[in-house]
Amino acid sequence: MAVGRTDQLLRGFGDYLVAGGLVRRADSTYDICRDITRFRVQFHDNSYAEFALSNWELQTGGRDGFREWTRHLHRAIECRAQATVRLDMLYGFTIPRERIFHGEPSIADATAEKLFKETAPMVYREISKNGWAAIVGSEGTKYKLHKCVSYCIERVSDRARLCAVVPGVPLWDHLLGVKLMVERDELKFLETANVARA
Amino acid sequence: MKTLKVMDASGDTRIQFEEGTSAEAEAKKLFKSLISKGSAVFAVNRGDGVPDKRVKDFAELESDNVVVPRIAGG
Repeated sequence: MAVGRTDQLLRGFGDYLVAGGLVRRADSTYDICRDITRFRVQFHDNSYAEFALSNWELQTGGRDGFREWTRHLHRAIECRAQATVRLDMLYGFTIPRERIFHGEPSIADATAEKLFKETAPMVYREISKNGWAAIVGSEGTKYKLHKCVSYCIERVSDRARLCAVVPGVPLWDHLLGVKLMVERDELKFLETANVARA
Repeated sequence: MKTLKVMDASGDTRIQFEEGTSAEAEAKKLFKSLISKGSAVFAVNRGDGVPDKRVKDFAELESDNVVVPRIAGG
């Protein structure tokens, strides 16, 4: 169990608000649990915080469901974090964070990582070393593939972060899906991500 | 022997089949179903530095194939 993570949560969420929807965090990644009952913030030291989601947070859906989800989930995280800070101030000491602990990757995460490793070993090595890897789209455009869920693909020419996700799969599967689409069918990918060609 | 690695919540589910067997017919049915749902299929690990390829027809499948669920845009 780790304590003192609340500041990180608030800072991460603050970046999100300031950027108006663009997720820019150097110290954490956000993830939605596969059964959509929990939301997870993972830090680079592999510790992570999980939050249960209530019904109102799950009622958004449709074509833009992911974007709506993200907005509501971040709001939920902020409320939870602020409440925890207030309790700390009330009691005069830091309350142990029961939901924050050091965890090993799940079997699904390990399986997805193995698939990525055997499909694109060089890109895997680069991402593991730097946190990102250079890839080239089927139309010749250069991109950076970042190891994160939201806005994982960045166009080098204008530093635009493109938003497209492979829903319901572990992080490494998501990265592999995006990589394959960009490298083999870039135009279709750009159409999905709602962006024009550079 | 051909393999379809279908990405899902557990990481991936692998379906192996030989040509001309009943397993191939099942795999073909699954392939059609996945494609109709918007999944993208890629032939990977093609050897000798040959790049991956997007596959749109069952006959084009190679020995190692990855199925990516429909990508959602933001």
